[in-house]
Amino acid sequence: MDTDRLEISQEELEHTLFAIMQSNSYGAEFVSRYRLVTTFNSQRLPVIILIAGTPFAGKTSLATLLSERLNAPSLIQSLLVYEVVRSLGHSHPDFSLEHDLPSWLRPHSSCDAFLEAFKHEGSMVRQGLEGDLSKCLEEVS
Amino acid sequence: MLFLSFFEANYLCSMMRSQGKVIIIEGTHVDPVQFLSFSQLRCVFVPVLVMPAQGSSHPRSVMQRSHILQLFCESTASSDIEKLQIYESNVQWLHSYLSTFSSKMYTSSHLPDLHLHHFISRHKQLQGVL
Repeated sequence: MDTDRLEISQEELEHTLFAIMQSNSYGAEFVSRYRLVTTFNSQRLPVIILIAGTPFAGKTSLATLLSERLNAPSLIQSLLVYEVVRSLGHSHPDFSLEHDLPSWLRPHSSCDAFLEAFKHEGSMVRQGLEGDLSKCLEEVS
Repeated sequence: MLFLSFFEANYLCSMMRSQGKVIIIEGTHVDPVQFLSFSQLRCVFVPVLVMPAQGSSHPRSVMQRSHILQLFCESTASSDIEKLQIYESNVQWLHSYLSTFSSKMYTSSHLPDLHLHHFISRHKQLQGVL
Protein backbone atom coordinates (compact mmCIF):
# COMPACT_ATOMS: atom_id res chain seq x y z
CA MET A 1 0.00 0.00 0.00
CA ASP A 2 1.33 3.44 -0.96
CA THR A 3 0.59 6.22 1.54
CA ASP A 4 2.95 8.79 -0.03
CA ARG A 5 5.16 8.71 3.02
CA LEU A 6 8.95 8.79 2.82
CA GLU A 7 9.54 7.79 6.43
CA ILE A 8 7.96 5.21 8.66
CA SER A 9 8.88 4.01 12.13
CA GLN A 10 9.46 0.37 12.96
CA GLU A 11 6.39 0.42 15.18
CA GLU A 12 4.18 1.78 12.40
CA LEU A 13 5.63 -0.69 9.94
CA GLU A 14 4.88 -3.61 12.22
CA HIS A 15 1.38 -2.28 12.92
CA THR A 16 0.72 -2.19 9.16
CA LEU A 17 2.27 -5.62 8.71
CA PHE A 18 0.08 -7.13 11.42
CA ALA A 19 -3.00 -5.56 9.88
CA ILE A 20 -2.10 -7.09 6.50
CA MET A 21 -1.40 -10.46 8.15
CA GLN A 22 -4.74 -10.45 9.96
CA SER A 23 -6.62 -9.44 6.80
CA ASN A 24 -5.06 -12.50 5.13
CA SER A 25 -6.19 -14.90 7.87
CA TYR A 26 -2.85 -14.90 9.68
CA GLY A 27 -4.26 -14.19 13.11
CA ALA A 28 -2.97 -13.44 16.58
CA GLU A 29 -0.99 -16.67 16.82
CA PHE A 30 1.14 -15.75 13.78
CA VAL A 31 1.59 -12.18 15.02
CA SER A 32 2.79 -13.59 18.34
CA ARG A 33 5.27 -15.88 16.55
CA TYR A 34 6.52 -12.99 14.43
CA ARG A 35 7.09 -10.84 17.51
CA LEU A 36 8.91 -13.68 19.23
CA VAL A 37 11.29 -14.36 16.35
CA THR A 38 11.99 -10.69 15.62
CA THR A 39 12.68 -10.02 19.31
CA PHE A 40 15.00 -12.94 19.26
CA ASN A 41 16.81 -11.70 16.15
CA SER A 42 17.02 -8.10 17.30
CA GLN A 43 18.68 -9.19 20.54
CA ARG A 44 21.01 -11.38 18.47
CA LEU A 45 20.60 -14.25 20.87
CA PRO A 46 22.11 -17.40 19.44
CA VAL A 47 20.06 -20.58 19.71
CA ILE A 48 21.71 -23.82 20.66
CA ILE A 49 19.48 -26.76 19.88
CA LEU A 50 20.65 -29.90 21.62
CA ILE A 51 19.32 -33.08 20.07
CA ALA A 52 19.79 -35.90 22.52
CA GLY A 53 18.51 -39.45 22.55
CA THR A 54 19.45 -43.08 22.68
CA PRO A 55 21.47 -44.71 19.87
CA PHE A 56 19.67 -45.36 16.58
CA ALA A 57 16.77 -43.08 17.51
CA GLY A 58 17.11 -40.92 14.38
CA LYS A 59 18.86 -37.92 15.93
CA THR A 60 21.07 -37.30 12.91
CA SER A 61 18.11 -37.56 10.53
CA LEU A 62 16.13 -35.05 12.55
CA ALA A 63 19.13 -32.73 12.94
CA THR A 64 19.94 -32.79 9.23
CA LEU A 65 16.36 -32.07 8.22
CA LEU A 66 16.06 -29.39 10.89
CA SER A 67 19.31 -27.79 9.76
CA GLU A 68 17.94 -27.52 6.23
CA ARG A 69 14.63 -26.18 7.49
CA LEU A 70 16.22 -23.53 9.72
CA ASN A 71 18.99 -22.73 7.23
CA ALA A 72 21.45 -23.45 10.03
CA PRO A 73 24.83 -24.52 8.66
CA SER A 74 26.30 -25.12 12.13
CA LEU A 75 25.45 -28.75 12.72
CA ILE A 76 27.81 -30.43 15.16
CA GLN A 77 27.82 -34.19 15.63
CA SER A 78 28.94 -35.21 19.12
CA LEU A 79 30.22 -38.54 17.82
CA LEU A 80 32.87 -36.79 15.73
CA VAL A 81 33.87 -34.62 18.69
CA TYR A 82 34.02 -37.74 20.85
CA GLU A 83 36.35 -39.42 18.35
CA VAL A 84 38.57 -36.32 18.22
CA VAL A 85 38.66 -36.15 22.04
CA ARG A 86 39.46 -39.84 22.24
CA SER A 87 42.32 -39.47 19.76
CA LEU A 88 43.65 -36.48 21.69
CA GLY A 89 43.45 -38.44 24.93
CA HIS A 90 46.60 -40.34 24.05
CA SER A 91 48.66 -37.16 24.18
CA HIS A 92 46.68 -34.79 26.42
CA PRO A 93 45.83 -35.60 30.07
CA ASP A 94 42.71 -33.37 30.09
CA PHE A 95 41.12 -35.45 27.33
CA SER A 96 41.56 -38.95 28.63
CA LEU A 97 38.89 -41.60 28.26
CA GLU A 98 39.60 -44.93 29.88
CA HIS A 99 37.68 -47.09 27.43
CA ASP A 100 37.57 -47.44 23.67
CA LEU A 101 33.89 -48.40 23.67
CA PRO A 102 31.25 -45.78 24.51
CA SER A 103 29.50 -46.14 27.86
CA TRP A 104 26.30 -47.70 26.48
CA LEU A 105 28.20 -50.66 25.01
CA ARG A 106 30.08 -51.49 28.20
CA PRO A 107 28.79 -53.43 31.23
CA HIS A 108 28.07 -51.41 34.39
CA SER A 109 27.25 -52.57 37.89
CA SER A 110 24.26 -50.24 38.27
CA CYS A 111 22.31 -47.41 36.68
CA ASP A 112 24.30 -44.88 38.71
CA ALA A 113 27.59 -46.36 37.52
CA PHE A 114 26.41 -46.16 33.92
CA LEU A 115 25.23 -42.56 34.31
CA GLU A 116 28.53 -41.59 35.89
CA ALA A 117 30.41 -43.02 32.89
CA PHE A 118 27.99 -41.35 30.45
CA LYS A 119 28.33 -37.98 32.17
CA HIS A 120 32.11 -38.27 32.09
CA GLU A 121 32.02 -38.82 28.34
CA GLY A 122 29.54 -35.97 27.96
CA SER A 123 31.85 -33.70 29.89
CA MET A 124 34.75 -34.65 27.62
CA VAL A 125 32.67 -33.82 24.55
CA ARG A 126 31.60 -30.55 26.15
CA GLN A 127 35.25 -29.65 26.78
CA GLY A 128 36.08 -30.52 23.19
CA LEU A 129 33.41 -28.07 22.03
CA GLU A 130 34.15 -25.32 24.54
CA GLY A 131 36.50 -23.13 22.51
CA ASP A 132 34.67 -23.41 19.23
CA LEU A 133 31.22 -22.87 20.71
CA SER A 134 32.36 -19.84 22.68
CA LYS A 135 33.89 -18.43 19.52
CA CYS A 136 30.65 -18.98 17.61
CA LEU A 137 28.69 -17.26 20.37
CA GLU A 138 31.09 -14.32 20.55
CA GLU A 139 30.94 -13.82 16.79
CA VAL A 140 27.18 -13.56 16.69
CA SER A 141 26.82 -11.40 19.79
CA MET B 1 52.21 -30.78 19.61
CA LEU B 2 48.99 -32.54 18.64
CA PHE B 3 48.60 -34.46 15.43
CA LEU B 4 45.16 -34.56 13.87
CA SER B 5 44.06 -36.52 10.87
CA PHE B 6 42.99 -34.55 7.81
CA PHE B 7 39.37 -35.38 8.61
CA GLU B 8 39.62 -34.18 12.21
CA ALA B 9 41.48 -31.00 11.25
CA ASN B 10 38.99 -30.22 8.50
CA TYR B 11 36.10 -30.73 10.90
CA LEU B 12 37.54 -28.47 13.57
CA CYS B 13 38.40 -25.77 11.01
CA SER B 14 34.88 -25.86 9.61
CA MET B 15 33.48 -25.47 13.14
CA MET B 16 35.67 -22.45 13.78
CA ARG B 17 34.34 -20.77 10.67
CA SER B 18 30.77 -21.26 11.88
CA GLN B 19 29.01 -17.98 12.43
CA GLY B 20 25.38 -19.02 12.31
CA LYS B 21 22.92 -17.89 14.90
CA VAL B 22 21.48 -21.35 15.20
CA ILE B 23 23.82 -24.09 16.32
CA ILE B 24 22.55 -27.65 16.36
CA ILE B 25 24.45 -30.19 18.42
CA GLU B 26 23.29 -33.76 18.07
CA GLY B 27 24.49 -37.15 19.19
CA THR B 28 24.27 -39.77 21.88
CA HIS B 29 27.05 -38.05 23.80
CA VAL B 30 24.93 -34.92 24.22
CA ASP B 31 24.30 -34.54 27.95
CA PRO B 32 22.03 -31.49 28.46
CA VAL B 33 23.54 -30.82 31.90
CA GLN B 34 26.92 -30.15 30.33
CA PHE B 35 25.58 -27.28 28.25
CA LEU B 36 23.58 -25.41 30.87
CA SER B 37 26.42 -23.00 31.62
CA PHE B 38 26.31 -21.72 28.04
CA SER B 39 23.05 -19.96 28.84
CA GLN B 40 25.17 -17.49 30.82
CA LEU B 41 26.70 -16.47 27.51
CA ARG B 42 23.41 -14.97 26.30
CA CYS B 43 22.25 -17.86 24.27
CA VAL B 44 19.05 -19.83 24.20
CA PHE B 45 19.41 -23.41 25.22
CA VAL B 46 16.92 -25.90 23.85
CA PRO B 47 17.16 -29.57 24.78
CA VAL B 48 15.34 -31.85 22.40
CA LEU B 49 14.93 -35.54 23.00
CA VAL B 50 14.49 -37.87 20.08
CA MET B 51 12.89 -41.27 20.29
CA PRO B 52 12.79 -43.95 17.60
CA ALA B 53 10.14 -43.48 14.96
CA GLN B 54 8.29 -46.79 15.19
CA GLY B 55 7.45 -48.16 11.79
CA SER B 56 9.17 -45.31 10.00
CA SER B 57 9.95 -46.08 6.38
CA HIS B 58 12.63 -43.40 6.18
CA PRO B 59 15.68 -45.03 4.52
CA ARG B 60 17.94 -44.07 7.39
CA SER B 61 15.62 -45.55 10.01
CA VAL B 62 15.45 -48.78 8.06
CA MET B 63 19.21 -48.79 7.69
CA GLN B 64 19.72 -48.19 11.41
CA ARG B 65 17.29 -50.89 12.42
CA SER B 66 19.08 -53.26 10.04
CA HIS B 67 22.38 -52.21 11.53
CA ILE B 68 21.35 -52.96 15.10
CA LEU B 69 19.88 -56.27 14.02
CA GLN B 70 23.10 -57.12 12.29
CA LEU B 71 25.07 -56.07 15.35
CA PHE B 72 23.20 -58.17 17.86
CA CYS B 73 20.12 -60.06 16.93
CA GLU B 74 21.25 -62.21 14.04
CA SER B 75 23.84 -63.89 16.18
CA THR B 76 23.01 -66.73 18.54
CA ALA B 77 26.40 -66.66 20.26
CA SER B 78 25.97 -66.29 24.01
CA SER B 79 28.58 -63.50 24.14
CA ASP B 80 26.57 -61.47 21.61
CA ILE B 81 23.32 -62.05 23.52
CA GLU B 82 25.07 -60.83 26.65
CA LYS B 83 26.23 -57.70 24.77
CA LEU B 84 22.65 -57.11 23.64
CA GLN B 85 21.38 -57.38 27.23
CA ILE B 86 24.04 -54.91 28.40
CA TYR B 87 23.17 -52.56 25.57
CA GLU B 88 19.43 -52.75 26.25
CA SER B 89 19.72 -52.03 29.96
CA ASN B 90 22.14 -49.15 29.30
CA VAL B 91 19.81 -47.67 26.71
CA GLN B 92 16.86 -47.89 29.12
CA TRP B 93 18.84 -46.08 31.81
CA LEU B 94 19.97 -43.47 29.32
CA HIS B 95 16.42 -42.92 28.08
CA SER B 96 15.15 -42.46 31.63
CA TYR B 97 17.94 -39.98 32.38
CA LEU B 98 17.35 -37.92 29.22
CA SER B 99 13.59 -37.97 29.74
CA THR B 100 14.05 -35.80 32.82
CA PHE B 101 15.04 -32.90 30.54
CA SER B 102 12.15 -32.97 28.15
CA SER B 103 8.67 -34.39 28.48
CA LYS B 104 7.98 -34.04 24.77
CA MET B 105 9.83 -36.25 22.33
CA TYR B 106 10.26 -35.83 18.63
CA THR B 107 10.86 -38.00 15.62
CA SER B 108 11.66 -37.02 12.05
CA SER B 109 7.95 -37.44 11.29
CA HIS B 110 7.32 -34.34 13.44
CA LEU B 111 9.48 -32.20 11.18
CA PRO B 112 6.71 -30.65 9.08
CA ASP B 113 5.41 -29.08 12.32
CA LEU B 114 8.77 -27.90 13.65
CA HIS B 115 9.89 -24.31 13.17
CA LEU B 116 12.36 -22.08 14.93
CA HIS B 117 9.58 -20.21 16.76
CA HIS B 118 8.44 -23.55 18.14
CA PHE B 119 11.81 -24.14 19.74
CA ILE B 120 12.05 -20.60 21.03
CA SER B 121 8.58 -20.61 22.55
CA ARG B 122 9.23 -24.04 24.02
CA HIS B 123 12.41 -22.70 25.54
CA LYS B 124 10.49 -19.78 26.99
CA GLN B 125 8.25 -22.22 28.79
CA LEU B 126 11.23 -24.16 30.09
CA GLN B 127 13.65 -21.47 31.08
CA GLY B 128 11.76 -18.19 31.21
CA VAL B 129 14.25 -16.44 28.92
CA LEU B 130 13.25 -13.37 26.85
